[in-house]
Amino acid sequence: MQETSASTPNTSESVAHFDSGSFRDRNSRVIIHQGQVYRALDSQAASEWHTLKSTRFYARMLDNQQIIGTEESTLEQFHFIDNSQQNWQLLLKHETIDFISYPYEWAFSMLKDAALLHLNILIDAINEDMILKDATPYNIQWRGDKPVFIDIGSFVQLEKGQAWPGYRQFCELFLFPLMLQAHKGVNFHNWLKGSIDGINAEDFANIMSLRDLLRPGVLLHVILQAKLQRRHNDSKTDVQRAMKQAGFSKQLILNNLNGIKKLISKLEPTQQTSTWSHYTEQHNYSSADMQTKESLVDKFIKQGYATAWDFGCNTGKFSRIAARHCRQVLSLDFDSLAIEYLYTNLKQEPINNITPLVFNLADPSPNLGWRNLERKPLGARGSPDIILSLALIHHLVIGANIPLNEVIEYFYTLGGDLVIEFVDREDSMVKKLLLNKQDIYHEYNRETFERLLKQNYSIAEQHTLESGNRTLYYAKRNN
Amino acid sequence: MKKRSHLEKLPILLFSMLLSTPAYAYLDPGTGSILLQGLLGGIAGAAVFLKLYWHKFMSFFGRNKPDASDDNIDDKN
Repeated sequence: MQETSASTPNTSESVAHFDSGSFRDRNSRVIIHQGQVYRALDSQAASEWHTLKSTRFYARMLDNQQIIGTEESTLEQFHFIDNSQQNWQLLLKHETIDFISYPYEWAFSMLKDAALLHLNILIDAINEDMILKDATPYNIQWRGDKPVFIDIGSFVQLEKGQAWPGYRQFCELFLFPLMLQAHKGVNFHNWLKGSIDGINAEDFANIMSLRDLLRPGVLLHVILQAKLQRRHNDSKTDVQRAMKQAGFSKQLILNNLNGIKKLISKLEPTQQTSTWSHYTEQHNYSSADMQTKESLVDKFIKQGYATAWDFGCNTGKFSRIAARHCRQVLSLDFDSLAIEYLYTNLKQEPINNITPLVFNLADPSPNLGWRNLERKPLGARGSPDIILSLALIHHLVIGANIPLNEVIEYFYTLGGDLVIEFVDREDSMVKKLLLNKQDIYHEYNRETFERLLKQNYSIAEQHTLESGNRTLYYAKRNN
Repeated sequence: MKKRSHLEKLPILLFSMLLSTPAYAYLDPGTGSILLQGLLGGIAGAAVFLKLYWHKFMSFFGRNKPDASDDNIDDKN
């Protein structure tokens, strides 16, 4: 086995850079190198890995594509400059995920499905005497609209009498955010966007009403947990040992997990499906214009792009067109209900390369966590080959007051070519946006738009729709 | 997946046993949250929970036990 320490690297070795979001678990850390994902394991984690890979549930999860594909690699290919003095024993190589997303970018049902996946994995693991040492949704990623568990280093052997170490974290990052939306009608996204550890029990207990106390699970998981946490805040007892001695068993964890699973299965977002109907009905196009728009987008995307990011995707009409030609499509919209609608529909469809995400261009996902590096903004996680920005620009410039040039420059910094729709001032939606606002948007006209667009892109094609108020541009990025 | 023979598994098993340390994760599971897991385990779990709180329960009825053993749960006060 290889001992790793700082020494002069061989020419064949690359310096291992640990991912800035992978440090909390000291036994196992992720290295991203030339687009490949590796995981360095210390002796303890290596031992757990050997146990894991011989279990039946691991093989089953691999078959069902619920866990990331993993193979053993050679530690010698990396030179470790590691001030933490960790002795790495084994290197794993993981399948890659096209785009890393975070729970504050998921629809309610995505977080719910991720929670259920986590619980199912945990139940299967416990039945074979293993357990997950943490319980964070950041350990789950998306291949298209399918969740996949990525943290191989999280599996450890279950000791007799041991409690579930991730219970509190599961509540803070899965259960309470879901309850927040289901019981209070408040989106969890902004809370998680500002708090990497989620919603703590005490904060959540404080916003529970009398009526909420009667809802399943609230009294125990929220109120009592908050009280017990406060009471035993500075406890000096080895409570794990005390539990073990009092006869705690894995069956009790399983009972709890099955209870939580039932609880979560019944949680639904407060908005009813009937309100979704307006998404499909509401648009400002004649059917002829819509058809033209669809065929134009299809024609542009067909040029050969691997990845497309569809900003302001709404119900995903154009994302679905992009998905015919691209390997991977990100469908982004600030409206979490639209993303919920898209996700629940995609689950019924054979399309498997669209990942819907809640994303607000005017208030985007931040740098979060230690040194502002644990969670990264969108542009630091990938780059599109082509961007779709359809029926969006007026919402950004007039709705959110973002200068026109900055919108175009932002798209340029993300990368790729651009299919963008300019919506004239005569359009009814633009008029509506301006109705109760001072019109300070003098730059908002087609001439200025084209001039600004040409600073970073070459217009390969443009087409004004029949109504005359909307023009579609196919712009190729200047390198 | 190729099935391992028991003999093949032996070194891994021994290795794992040697390394077996108390399963305290890097995560702070929270004393209160661990205690609650007794109750959440159902009737059998509630018995575990009660056992941990037994001395407090008894002291409530005036049967105080001055030297609460390690098995019992300390009070914040």
